[in-house]
Amino acid sequence: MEDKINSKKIEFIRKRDGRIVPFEKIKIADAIFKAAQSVGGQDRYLAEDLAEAVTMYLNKEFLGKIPTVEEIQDIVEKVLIKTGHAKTAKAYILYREKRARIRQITRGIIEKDIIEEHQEIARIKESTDLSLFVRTSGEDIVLWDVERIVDSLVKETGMEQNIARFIATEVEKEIIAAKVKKLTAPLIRELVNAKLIEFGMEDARRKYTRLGLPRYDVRNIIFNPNKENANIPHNPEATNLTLAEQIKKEFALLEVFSPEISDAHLRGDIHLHDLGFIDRPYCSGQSLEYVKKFGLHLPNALSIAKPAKHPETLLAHMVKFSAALQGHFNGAIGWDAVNIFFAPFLEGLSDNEIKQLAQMLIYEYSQQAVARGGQAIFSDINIYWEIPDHFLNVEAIGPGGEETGRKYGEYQETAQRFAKSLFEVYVEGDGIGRPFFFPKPLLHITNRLFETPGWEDFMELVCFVAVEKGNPYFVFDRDNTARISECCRLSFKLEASDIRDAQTPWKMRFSALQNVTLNLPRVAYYAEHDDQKLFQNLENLMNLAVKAHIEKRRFIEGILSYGQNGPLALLTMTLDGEPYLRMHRVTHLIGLLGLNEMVQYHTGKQLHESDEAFRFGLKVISYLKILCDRKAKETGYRFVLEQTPAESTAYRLARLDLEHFPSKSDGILKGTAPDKVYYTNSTYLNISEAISPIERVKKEGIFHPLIEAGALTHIWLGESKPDPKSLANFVLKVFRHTKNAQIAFSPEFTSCLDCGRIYRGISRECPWCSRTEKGVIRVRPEMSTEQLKI
Amino acid sequence: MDRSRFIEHLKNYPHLYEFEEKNDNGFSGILVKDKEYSTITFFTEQVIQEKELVELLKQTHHGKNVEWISRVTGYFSKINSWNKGKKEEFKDRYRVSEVDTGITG
Repeated sequence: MEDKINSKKIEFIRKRDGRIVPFEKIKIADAIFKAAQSVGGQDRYLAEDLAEAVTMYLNKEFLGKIPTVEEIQDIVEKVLIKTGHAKTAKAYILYREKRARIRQITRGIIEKDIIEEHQEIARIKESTDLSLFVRTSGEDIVLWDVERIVDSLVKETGMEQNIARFIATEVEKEIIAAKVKKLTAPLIRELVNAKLIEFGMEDARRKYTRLGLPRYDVRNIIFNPNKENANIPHNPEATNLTLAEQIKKEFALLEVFSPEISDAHLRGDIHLHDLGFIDRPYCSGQSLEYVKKFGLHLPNALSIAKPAKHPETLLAHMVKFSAALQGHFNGAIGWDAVNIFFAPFLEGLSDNEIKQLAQMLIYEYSQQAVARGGQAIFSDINIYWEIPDHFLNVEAIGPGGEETGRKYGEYQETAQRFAKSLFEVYVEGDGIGRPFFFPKPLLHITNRLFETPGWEDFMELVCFVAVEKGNPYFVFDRDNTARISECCRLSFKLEASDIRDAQTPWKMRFSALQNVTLNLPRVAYYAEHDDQKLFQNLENLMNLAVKAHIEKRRFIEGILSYGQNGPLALLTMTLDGEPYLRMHRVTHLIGLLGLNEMVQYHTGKQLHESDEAFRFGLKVISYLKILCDRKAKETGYRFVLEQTPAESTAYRLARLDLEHFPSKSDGILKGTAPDKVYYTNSTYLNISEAISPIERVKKEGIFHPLIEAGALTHIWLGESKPDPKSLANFVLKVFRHTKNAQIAFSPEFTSCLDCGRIYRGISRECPWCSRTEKGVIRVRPEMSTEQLKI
Repeated sequence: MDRSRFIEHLKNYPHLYEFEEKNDNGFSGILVKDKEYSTITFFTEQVIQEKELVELLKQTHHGKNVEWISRVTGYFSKINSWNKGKKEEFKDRYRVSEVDTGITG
């Protein structure tokens, strides 16, 4: 250190407690800027110039010495005055005095001073007959009592009592001076917070802050629908959810995540999903066997149901358990091999009875609007035509939770009848022929499909549903891979331990804890066409995402540690000997957004425009996969890539980049500025390009093996209705000749709310209801009353 | 329906309807402006008498009371509830035509 002290530049300073720390010019600039801001200054560059002047002065004055904080502050004052910034100098001096006072109080030096001040205030109160009332948050009106501030400051911020009393007294002085008669608890808190900032106690202010919404916003939320999530209805339950989400989101950013992570989210480098649901894991996929074996035996439930004996009861248990789970997760609730696990309950039933049950199942899910803000349950049912290898020799569970003595392989025919019925219901649509929104059916295709008789007709039926209504996802489980799929594209690849669990299928359940999405285009903006920088930035971003995941994980672990008395009691139930949520097996999702735009900025070409651009995209995703695996090894947690569904993320991050990188994002963002912009989802090719479906499926599919937690290619059908047989051939071609993991076909519909008719495609008017009745005239604005007589 | 009940209903929802009673040159009826659908509709006295309230109100929609449905990211939902970015993406989506190579080819 001696060498350093002898250098020509100040490198260290001595803090008030005697510690020697590195000199940081930026801290001087910050302090000057803060003082300048308090008197209306806005020039950050000027503050930095002045800090430079202070540094030069220090270099000269303290050559070979270590200056103290006080000495540096004296020089700042001198420089400010000499350079003609008297007002800023005054603010700076005042700030120094206030900080000095706080330090003195901490050391108990001016305790007497405060007592005197208290006596003075007491005299004023007496002489002015001060009867100040406060409306408390506990719905009461009470007399003003400064001790309440002192107590809350000590309790909430952990500050010493004498400092709390000092701050509270300062607030009281202001209130008396303002001559107000009625106060509210939120107003007092704001006054206290303003005082904490004035005395430089930023950390205490963060802890003491109130989370909530402006009155104007609350009114807006009550009267206007929520546009953040397309599935949230607009009703009082939904507005409750929106209000709660706002508060939990603020809480998450203040308390659950470190400032580094919260800032990265707010800046838009990463997106922390579902912050309004901070106290829940992300999503859950499970097996019906749990409900069949244990019944509905949920913690804190008002009644407990034994294992179901009848198919309708099993269905009721499944739906109610889904609703309970929906209240504990923020994403979808998926069910594995539903038609197979239902089969032991359906033996001997007629086709009509099976169809009736299929209808009940779909309507129950699509019409339940009870959980999570009055939404329907985000639900998925995985369906197989064949019995996949991993369930073939598993003991079947039947009515009453008892083993039937037969293996699932023996229930294939019944499972197939149920699968067919489900798709027959899907093709009819709801009461007026609209597609069902929930539950989404996912048809798994394994190699065994082609050895299972009847598969051609069944495939044609499912493809007929895809053409007519669009519901099914086609999930390709090639070469003995097995998975359970749910949500927009999430799937859990079954590891060796999961396949072992398949022998006791009630243990099969999968959960992702959180999704953190990387803003890929921004990585390219930062890297400025430099490959090395780009990959370095990707690594930095991945480190941030991993840190975010660990912070959320710690928070959830904290909640889970309350066990059966905590808010996540349901997830700690141990009916099968393990907690329902097995933290050692959860996955941590690293979401991807805007690979196309990243590559476009970096290489000048979009993914579909040149082989070089495509290969570069592949290199990026491969690198991220390597990083995920490395992080998984380092931390022991499962980090996996996912194609973020990006319903709001694609819009939010695009808007932030338009705002913060206007020239770089110009021509890169999709949509139309200023506010209708978006990024291409995940690793998709530009969605507006006329790329043939097979080409798109093939090319996008090349990324899929790298994206372990779920990838999908969309084919937008619009108005067109391909022949179901051709579609079935297409699906098989995709299975056999590509690496694509999942595909879906999506039609569009216009539904008339007046007459209940449904039309394919998008039209502005219902052709039926556009006709006029006799005696009714549709008036064009320019029409006169005279013309109305005609 | 009863004319006065029709008028009372229109009066109860001032943020949805404006109306004007017309009665000149022996021509009479009610002119209704539907603010939600930005339409103007004239109802003769006869049609008011003949039709139920719900039928009359539907006529003010001019067939525009429609919802659009498609897949937002994974699930189907109503397009009017999508955010502006998603709506823009929806417009941009390349739709496969029936003769598109790959599916029917």
